[in-house]
Amino acid sequence: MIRWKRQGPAWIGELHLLDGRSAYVVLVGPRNAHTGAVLVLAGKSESERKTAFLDESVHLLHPLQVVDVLCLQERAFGDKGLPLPELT
Amino acid sequence: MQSRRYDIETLLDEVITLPSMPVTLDQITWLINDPGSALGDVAKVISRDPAIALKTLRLVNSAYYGLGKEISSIEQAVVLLGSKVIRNMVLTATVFETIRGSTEKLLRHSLACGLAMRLLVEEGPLAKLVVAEDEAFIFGLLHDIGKVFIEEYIFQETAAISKLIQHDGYACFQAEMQQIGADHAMIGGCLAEKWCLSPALINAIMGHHELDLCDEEFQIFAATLRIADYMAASCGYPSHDHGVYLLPDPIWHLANLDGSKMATITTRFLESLPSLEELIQMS
Repeated sequence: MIRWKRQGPAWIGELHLLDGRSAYVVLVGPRNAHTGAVLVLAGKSESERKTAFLDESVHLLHPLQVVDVLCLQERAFGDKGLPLPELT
Repeated sequence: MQSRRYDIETLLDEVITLPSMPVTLDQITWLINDPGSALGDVAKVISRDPAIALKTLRLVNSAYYGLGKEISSIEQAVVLLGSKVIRNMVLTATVFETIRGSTEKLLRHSLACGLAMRLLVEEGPLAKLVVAEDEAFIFGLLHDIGKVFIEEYIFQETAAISKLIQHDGYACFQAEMQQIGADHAMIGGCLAEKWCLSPALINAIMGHHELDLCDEEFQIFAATLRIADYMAASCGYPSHDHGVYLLPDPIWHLANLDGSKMATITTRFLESLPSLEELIQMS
């Protein structure tokens, strides 16, 4: 399970990718928006940090992380009326 | 609170009375297995049970089945869908009757798990196996049926079980094992066995938390059901508060689902959630 924190309207989760790299997933909008979820890949320095849209990088994620991210995105930004998660 | 542990046989023989398979379902199963029976016979059996007939008709006409035209009689439904699909609908209606006294939280979780399981079966490797999509929904609907019986017959233990979950970090099935000596998956599996449901369904329910509890050939069903369980909880419909949901890698390896596949399945699942409200009204 991904641990989430809120920063303004964004939801940020820290995760380890399948290739071992550390990354953050940043949720800022609904699932149907290409720009709604961004993956920020950590680098040794700020200049090495890379970003990618989530829908183009799901192959880098564990399937469990994919479920976590999409479900949270729907709960936070979707129109299905799902309950918002409680932050622990 | 002191724990009162039972062995599973004592629990099922002396503490929990699992209901027999409802007569209507029993008769339909018998008719389906009888090569001499006609579709009209199945319709007659259902029509004799007004509560089940009404629920079956509402299910047939629901958005979940999406037939696109109104079905006004059981006879019409049986002819259109065939007796096996109708049997699964009657089983669904029967489960609705069984769990309607439970909490809305459990009902919502079970229905969401059914929707997820249906999509996992449609899109995943289980599509190659014998389970039909409407039967897949029943896997989800029934997977936590054991909780209904714990709530009904061993309700004096539920506070202690909740305490273990909330304060000691136990997963629900672990807390049940600790407190009463059996978990809801075992109890649900025994009910499925008593109702003569399919071996895949019995094993999947029994093993959806601990794969070792089901036969090896059915572990893929149990693993897939566990993922459906997780999806239902992740979208905001867990079966209980403060639960720890364990989903170790062997589950994913068995289910053979990767990130790209899960993106497709989860997206379809989230899109299907509005039909949950209709199913809840129906139950």
